[in-house]
Amino acid sequence: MKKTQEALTKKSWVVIKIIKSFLSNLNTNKSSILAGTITYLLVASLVLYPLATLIFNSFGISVINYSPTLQTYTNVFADINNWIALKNTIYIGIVATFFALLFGSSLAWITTRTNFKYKHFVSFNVFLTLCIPSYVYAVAWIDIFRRNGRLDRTLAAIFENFDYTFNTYSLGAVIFVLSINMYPIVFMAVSHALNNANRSLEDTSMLSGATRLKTTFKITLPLIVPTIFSIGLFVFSRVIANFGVPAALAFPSGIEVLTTRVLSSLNNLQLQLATTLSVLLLAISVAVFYWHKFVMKNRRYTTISSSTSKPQLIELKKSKIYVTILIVVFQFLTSILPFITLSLTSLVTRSHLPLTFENLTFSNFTGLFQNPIALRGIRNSITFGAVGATIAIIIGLGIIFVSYKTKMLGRKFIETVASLPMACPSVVLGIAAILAWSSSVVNIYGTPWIIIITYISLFIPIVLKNLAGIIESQDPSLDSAARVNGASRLRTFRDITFPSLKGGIFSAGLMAFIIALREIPISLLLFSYGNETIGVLMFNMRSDFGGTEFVSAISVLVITLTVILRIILKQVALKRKNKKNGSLGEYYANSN
Amino acid sequence: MKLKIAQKNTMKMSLLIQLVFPYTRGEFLAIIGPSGCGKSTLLRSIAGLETPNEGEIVIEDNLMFSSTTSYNVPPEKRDIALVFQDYALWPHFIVFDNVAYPLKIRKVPKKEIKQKVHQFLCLVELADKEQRYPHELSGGEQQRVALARALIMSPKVLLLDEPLSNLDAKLREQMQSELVKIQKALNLTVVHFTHDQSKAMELADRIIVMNHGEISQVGTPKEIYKNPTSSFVASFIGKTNLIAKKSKNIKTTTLLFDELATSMNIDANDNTVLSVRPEDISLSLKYGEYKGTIARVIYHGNTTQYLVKYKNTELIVQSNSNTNFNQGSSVYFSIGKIVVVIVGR
Repeated sequence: MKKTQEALTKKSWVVIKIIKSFLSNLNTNKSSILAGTITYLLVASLVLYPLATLIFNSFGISVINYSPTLQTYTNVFADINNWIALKNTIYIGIVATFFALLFGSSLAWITTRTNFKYKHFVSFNVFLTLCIPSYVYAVAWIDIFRRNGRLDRTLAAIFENFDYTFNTYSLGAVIFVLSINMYPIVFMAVSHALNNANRSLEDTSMLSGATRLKTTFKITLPLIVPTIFSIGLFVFSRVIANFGVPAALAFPSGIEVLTTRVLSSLNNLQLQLATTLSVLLLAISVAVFYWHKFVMKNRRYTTISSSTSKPQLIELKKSKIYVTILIVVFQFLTSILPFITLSLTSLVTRSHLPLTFENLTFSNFTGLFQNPIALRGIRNSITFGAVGATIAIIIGLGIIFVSYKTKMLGRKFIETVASLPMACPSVVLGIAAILAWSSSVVNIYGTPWIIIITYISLFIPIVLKNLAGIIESQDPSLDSAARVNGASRLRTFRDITFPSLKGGIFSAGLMAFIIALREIPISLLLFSYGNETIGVLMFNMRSDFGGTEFVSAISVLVITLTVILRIILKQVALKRKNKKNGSLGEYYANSN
Repeated sequence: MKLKIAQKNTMKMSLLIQLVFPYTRGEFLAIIGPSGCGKSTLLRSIAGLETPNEGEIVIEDNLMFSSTTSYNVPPEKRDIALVFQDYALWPHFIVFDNVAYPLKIRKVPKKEIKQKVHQFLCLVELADKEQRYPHELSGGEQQRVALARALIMSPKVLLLDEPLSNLDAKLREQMQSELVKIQKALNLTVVHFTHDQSKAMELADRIIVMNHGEISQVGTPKEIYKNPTSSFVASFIGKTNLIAKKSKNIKTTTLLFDELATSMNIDANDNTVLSVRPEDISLSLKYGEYKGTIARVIYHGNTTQYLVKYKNTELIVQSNSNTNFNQGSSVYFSIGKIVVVIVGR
């Protein structure tokens, strides 16, 4: 009896001590505690709660129903279709990653290490590719390759009685489109690594008598292998998370991947199946993503640039003309041509009509602003993006404050939780939101807020990655100086830290906004009448009224807006100078 | 008026800072020691930027920190000014705003702020640079802005974290004299943390020598230089010849040590070390107590240093540059002053 009492007092003493240390670490500043607590609550409710709900639901546990089971999983694995979807997911993941790595790293090597001339052309096309959402690529693919599409019509005009047998909808198409969509990220990462790799290592190799080619394979390549490996894992995690492309290019011929299967099971009113599949997809993505982070962190070399001297460029000699032609043709086909074909289609009354003066029209564009649904979609995407980005920035600032400027208990845990959506496929976030926000406890389904809240969780990691880099590079004595001069923690954050974060906040906001313009699965899962977004329009217009012209017009609009926003983003980054090139946040924002 | 801190565990080592030192208002103190001796931990603990594990900090009768009652005054409430090594001027504020910041925080009326900032910028002779950004200023000017910012809050204590080390020699001398001038004018207590003993000697009224997280010696520069109580202090403050009974590289006992010990009539044991400053040895061609040979000549301009070999000992001797002894020649020398140091004290 006495013993238990003693143990009890000991326990409560420990609890008191923890609380006390929690509070005293904040130097008993009430406003700091308040700011920290609000941040914790927001992260817990907006990020942790939906994901936890998803996982618990897959085991049959929810707020209203407690019946733990593994039946859901045995059901999933009993159905051969799920196995096929899993196999297809991993297949496109591996093959598309391979091609993205191949295209991206070869281009990076050629532009940084050889005397290839048209480097600006390459960076222009990489930029344009980044501005085209993956789903828009799929639309362009269909526009070109479908029966009676652009290619079919062209060939039919040349050859009489031409029989078009190309299979428009296949896994191959998905792989092609996704590897094109992803190679710019590989290009950026590998160029960054090559530019930062210590030149003297390569110079020494050549002074020791190795040829340039031998140096490339024996020195340069091993130096950047860790970078290639980690970016490969990242690309893989983004490819398997993609929903729009397999939905547009594989689903029509009955081929499913995990993301599309989640949606189709939801459409068949099998919420439990969708939930369990989502958890499986989440598990794979999170595992790959954290593997990538681990590799990234444990890279032993690459970023050891000390000299700024330009390296001796490799002379391409005779092969130069072939390399040039190959790159120009490849990039023309993968970035300029899709844009041209979309523009052309958006400018004719019916897509199969030839481009003559009579058929030329702007009605598709003017229609966007006359059709109430289209107008609403555009307006919604802009508002949801803006509101979501603003709130994500505020919460992100709270997390940054707690995590870097206080010693509050569990601050790193909160930061990790808040970064988690980075590793989640958007489809999974959507399903989690359905489960979390349309229960009998909280029901905001049917309001814009369910989309906005999910956008917030999607955007917070972007804010964090943008700001953490700046905070880490900042001189800590600037903060200390403010403290000894009389400013509290919170005041210091406002007066000293915040001004230096402004550029990063602006960039993060723009990146979030770009994602809102192109995002499909979240709004597709969560929209209701009146809350349609651009993503919903693009996705549904094809099936609803087969309006390729309309979709093309929206696509052109999205691309144009993205180009403008990205140019602003670039200017901001240039102005900031300490731009953290090759940062994870940048790749993440670019791959969504 | 005391300051007492004990033990601060850092990741790398366990520091045992046991110091209680009284100071009088308006004193210029220097805390010196080699890097890693616990200076910065002490400095940051006094300012409140770090929390010691144990002990207490009392500044002018005000308790700032106590581990037993877990009482901790946050840095913003301590009224301690700190000039950082890299000045820590806020890059997004102009000079005026940098200096005005402590007053703004304290909600001083605008008019008064303007007047006071001008006054202090005049004090550091930067009144004309009010509207500039820190990056538009030279290193010396930045340093003076940092000083003005520290002084404007009329602190109890001004802590200096080696702010002079980033300046070139000429500017440093200028800043030093200015600093002392201002300090005396405002009757300010200054604690200067540095690893540079020569600067500390020039500036400080009193010096506290630290090593391995403990205080080795406290005293005026003269006391510390003339009467070091440990071999560490003797060798850290200025150059010296440490003569031990048994040194590491000589197997047998140092012959010079024995001779000196007998002549001085001291009870020498293995822990006794004798310290002889290079300038306390005089060289002569004709007469002297000991006879050695010149092993090396190092010409310094205003002085010349000789490495004199005597039996199994080598001594550094400093003499004025007019002397002219050749390498390899024999020379007589006399020792003017010997300090007896006992290791471990």
